[in-house]
Amino acid sequence: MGQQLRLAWRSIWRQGRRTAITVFVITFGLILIIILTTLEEGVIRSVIDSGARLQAGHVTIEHEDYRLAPSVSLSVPDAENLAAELSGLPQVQTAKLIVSGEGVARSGAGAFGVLIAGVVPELERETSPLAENIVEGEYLAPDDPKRIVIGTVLAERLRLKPGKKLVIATNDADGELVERLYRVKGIFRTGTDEVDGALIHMQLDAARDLFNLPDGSATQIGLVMKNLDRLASFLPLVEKSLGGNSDLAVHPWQTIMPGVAGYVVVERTSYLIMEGFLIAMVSFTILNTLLMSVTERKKEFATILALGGRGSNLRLQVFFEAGLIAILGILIGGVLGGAVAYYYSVNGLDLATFVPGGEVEISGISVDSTIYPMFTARLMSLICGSILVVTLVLSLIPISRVTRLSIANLLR
Amino acid sequence: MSAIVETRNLTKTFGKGDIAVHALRGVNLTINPGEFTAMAGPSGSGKSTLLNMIGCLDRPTSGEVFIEGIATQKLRPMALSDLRRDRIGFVFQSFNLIPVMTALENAEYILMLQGKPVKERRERVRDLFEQIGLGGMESRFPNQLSGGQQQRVSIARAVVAEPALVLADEPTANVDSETGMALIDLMLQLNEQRNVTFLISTHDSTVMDRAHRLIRMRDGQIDGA
Ligand SMILES: Nc1ncnc2c1ncn2[C@@H]1O[C@H](COP(=O)(O)OP(=O)(O)O)[C@@H](O)[C@H]1O
Ligand SMILES: [Mg+2]
Repeated sequence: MGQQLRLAWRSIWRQGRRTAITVFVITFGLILIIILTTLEEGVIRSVIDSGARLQAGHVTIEHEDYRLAPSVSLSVPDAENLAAELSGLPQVQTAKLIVSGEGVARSGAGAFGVLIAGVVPELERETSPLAENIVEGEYLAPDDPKRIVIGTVLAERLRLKPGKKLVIATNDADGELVERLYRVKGIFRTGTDEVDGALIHMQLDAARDLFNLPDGSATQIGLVMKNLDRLASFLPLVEKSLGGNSDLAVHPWQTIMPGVAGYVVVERTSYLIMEGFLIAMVSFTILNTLLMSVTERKKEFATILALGGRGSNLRLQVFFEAGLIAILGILIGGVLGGAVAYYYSVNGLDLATFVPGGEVEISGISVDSTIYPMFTARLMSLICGSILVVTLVLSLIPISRVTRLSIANLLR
Repeated sequence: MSAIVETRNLTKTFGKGDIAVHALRGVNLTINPGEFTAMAGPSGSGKSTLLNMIGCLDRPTSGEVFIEGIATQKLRPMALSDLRRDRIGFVFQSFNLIPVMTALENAEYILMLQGKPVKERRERVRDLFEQIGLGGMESRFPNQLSGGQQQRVSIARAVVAEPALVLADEPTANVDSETGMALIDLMLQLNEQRNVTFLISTHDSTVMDRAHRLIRMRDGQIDGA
């Protein structure tokens, strides 16, 4: 083994220029793939997170019938206890409660359908895109039962300013028609018309009061995860901790935001196809190099076989040669590409210059124009590992040629 | 003592039908231990083909090759490979040293294949190098050696594991005549001092003159053996 490795190392440097070019191609391809992947995954994660922050988190627990027929009567009665319990799971960053229902907002200027969300202001202040994008007035404070925040589009339609009043009419959990008067505390602007024209935030208790829901209840429990990569293994854990609550459903973000889920699939597929081309190009170079180096050394190999050397030794040597070239390219490319990705994952890459107005909207979710590429050990090892595997698999082609040598003919 | 090589009615035909080339047409040859045999004959007379059959690098079309009494046609490829490693040394016209190995690594290659410990390998090669005028060349790579030096390394590689027989196919064809002479001296010296058996094909009249035994090939047959 040591012998084969030593010979492999010397052999690749016999054609130093060719090896250097091959290593460079791997390096270059790898850097492109790393940047593309980390950037795309960064965008994807940012879209999912923005959506999740706007909605009820990465994982939503609600009455199993709520999705099909959203109605406040389909609530989770002991939501508060359940949320407290779930926030104890190690994967959970925050567990929040939401009371979410539909209604009509009315002012002297007209009446428009709205989506009312009762939230815990302290939690939303830290995470919600609404709280971050208040353009007039202020976001909700913990004890503001009579105040709400609305979006710019709705404010314009209803001709409202902070401090002005509006009426919200809806059906409560018992189906009774109710009407309440609220005062606008702040106006937000996310950049997405569907959100800015319809979403209303009010305090959780105020919403329970409006919809006549009992204390401790909510229509949704939203879980924000520390690491979204763990979603698949996390879902069954949540199901388990729900235990007997058989009329509750656990939805991943894909169910809550099907538009975003579709976007993620399309986005991933398209960048993977691009990377497929890159890998094909890199593979072609590697294969070409390996085939050339095996072909021009046929006589050398035949000599070794004539002297009584084993074909397996030669195969191992060629395998090592491929591996060494790949590892060199991966080391250099991984370090350079990784450094770039890491730098931007910390400092962010502002795409505003590429986007008119500096705003990016994807699947109805406005995303910050500063992208933080997703730089994780897992992603990096996945990328580098796949290049190594591709190279080693490709090396099987020249390796198979080594074994099919006719010694006598080659030594003539 | 029994023969090292014995061929019986050996034939080798390349190709079929109209384009068939009968490279060997019934060769009967016996080589005894300690012999130093030169094989002469015009180009295309079948010298290389015969050496390939004896060296178990290729299979005959018909007939038999015995190496130290072993019928080689019955052996599987692995066993043939081991037989070549342990009992036969090869010297090629164009040296065929492994370019990525030093002179010492090339020379010790067979010992390494045999699994001999490093220390023993180094000692045996150093002694041999000293004896054949390669002292101090151990760590040079083939491209840092002259043609004559390369062929010396390849002769060292062929004899170091003490094979029963060394086959050399035109070993002096790629060097000048003076160097060729020195190489023949070296092989004669090894034949005398280490009792190595040589079978050498050649065009070189000095080789024929100095060999103990001369056989002539013509049209795939041994001429007046
Ligand atoms: N692999 C082969 N395929 C076809 N013909 C061959 C092959 N090897 C040798 N020959 C033919 O066999 C004959 C003997 O060749 P060879 O043994 O190389 O002669 P020599 O070594 O005496 O010059 C020549 O006619 C040569 O062309
Ligand atoms: Mg010949």
